[in-house]
Amino acid sequence: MPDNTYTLNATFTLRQPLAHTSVGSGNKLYLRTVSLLVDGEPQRIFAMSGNALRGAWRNCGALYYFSALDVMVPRTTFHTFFSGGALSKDVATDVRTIFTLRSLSPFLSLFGGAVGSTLISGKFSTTFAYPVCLETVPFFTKSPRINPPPYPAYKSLKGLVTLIRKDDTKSPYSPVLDVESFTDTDVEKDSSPQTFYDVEYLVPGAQLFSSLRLACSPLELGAFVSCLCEWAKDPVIGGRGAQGFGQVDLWLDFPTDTNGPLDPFVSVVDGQLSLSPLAQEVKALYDDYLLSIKNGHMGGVNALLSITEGKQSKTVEGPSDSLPAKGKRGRPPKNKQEVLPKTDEDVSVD
Amino acid sequence: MKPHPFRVTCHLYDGRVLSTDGLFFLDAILYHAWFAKYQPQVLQGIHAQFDRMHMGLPLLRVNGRYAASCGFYTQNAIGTDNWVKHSDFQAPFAQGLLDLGNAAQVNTSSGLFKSYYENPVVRLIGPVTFYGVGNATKVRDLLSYIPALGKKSSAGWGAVSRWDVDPWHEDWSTYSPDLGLMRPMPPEEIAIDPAPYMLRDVGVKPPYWKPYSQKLCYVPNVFQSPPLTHFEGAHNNVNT
Repeated sequence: MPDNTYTLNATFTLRQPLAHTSVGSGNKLYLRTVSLLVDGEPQRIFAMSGNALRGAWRNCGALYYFSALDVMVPRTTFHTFFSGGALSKDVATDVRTIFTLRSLSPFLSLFGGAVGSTLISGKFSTTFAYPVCLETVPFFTKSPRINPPPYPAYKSLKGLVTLIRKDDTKSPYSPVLDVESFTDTDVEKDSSPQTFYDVEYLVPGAQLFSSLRLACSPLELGAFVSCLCEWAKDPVIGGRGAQGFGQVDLWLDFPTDTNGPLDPFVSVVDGQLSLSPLAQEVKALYDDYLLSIKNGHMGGVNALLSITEGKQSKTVEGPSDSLPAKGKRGRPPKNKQEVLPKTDEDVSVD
Repeated sequence: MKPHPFRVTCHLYDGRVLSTDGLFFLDAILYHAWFAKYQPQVLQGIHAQFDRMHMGLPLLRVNGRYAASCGFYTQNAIGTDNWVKHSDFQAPFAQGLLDLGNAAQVNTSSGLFKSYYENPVVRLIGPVTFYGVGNATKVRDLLSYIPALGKKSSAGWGAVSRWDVDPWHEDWSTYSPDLGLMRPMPPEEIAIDPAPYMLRDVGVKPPYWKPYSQKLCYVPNVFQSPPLTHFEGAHNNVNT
């Protein structure tokens, strides 16, 4: 089945402060910023990395996949599905094996990864997510999802909060502390672990926008919807989620005319997931497919694990009806008399 | 159909593109687009089902090269960005899912499961302009298959918002009166004063990354104005 291209506009609205840092300076953690060209001059603006968004959804999709198959996952497979894997010279991977792997796991085919000596290219890309503000007006498309102007200045969207890591040895709970375990050095140095640190954040109510592109089959689109279904259970982006940062509402819409009606795909608002008919359809397709894999279709889970764990590199057969007979170096047998078909790109001038 | 000169302008979404040497090649982009259109299974790594067909780009060929220039642009900033790959063995969801088998531990500081922090070179650039000779209509169609320039496009760098293809008054694919050398040229073939240009190994036809495509060539100066001294990067990130 040929791939379709789906473009989605993503709009995030922060329900809690968002912390997304790159590096800290001392005990201060600043928002990750990038240079954007604003009125001809580069300015530092917050950006939620596409890598971070992809990583969060990737984990959710892999979790959904293996939960549906109900298997324990060996570490190489785990690394490939959750983190993208790593190239290894030890295992030669045949193109037929990759074909089989893409068929066995639409999720891995969508997000890509490394298996043995081969990189599996992904089919899903996302832009960075920028805040809706005066400085980023040239970069986002006006839509009813985005708050109407006047847009806030970027500096008004930032805040700094001080957090404390308290030394509980001096708290009311300290009676349960075994003071005998203190060494003389501990007592002499009085090394208290209490720390103050500052976290810069984007304020609740701020909006972020980004654009997603999926060049994939409906089955792989279903795998993407499964990522969102799992993520909707805890719709958090960025860091420090355990401390209350990063909870968001998300709308994913197909692009439409600025003044036209919205064409929603998936939304997560107030923690409630809402799927469009298309999203429901591809998700059902994906769920049925996972059930068939669980029941042994194409060798089932064992075939998948044998490829990703490198125990079977060149002998796994894909669907035979779609693969031609192998010739030298895995290519179809060569026919010297064959006249190669031309594409309509040829320019007959040399 | 007789080939005509044309100009291609690539408008980037946010102008942030990952490229170490800053060189973009129109014929390389079209080469990738050709596979995206006609043989997407090659890009997906499943080319056992490769349907053999004549590989042709809608560009004039001159001395074994395509009549296509490098991309020229204004560079507003250069520096490093970062992205992180971390292993998820310690994540809460790993419990109950991860089967460690006989492995006593997983080493995430080196080896197969290493986590790492990458600092690629990022450039903040304006629209990228290319020049070529060929069939502009087919070039426009092929370019519609290219959503991004440069590395790590899946994570958001180099996203393209629009491609424009316009007729151009003369062939600027190799030399131009305004910009001089327009594409890498071997010393024995260069027809202009090579003094302003750097000499280095670089590809002369796609696939550019393959060693057999590379030669010692003079390389054009693709920056249309001097780069700013502004430096961006993770270690220059204090911006309160």
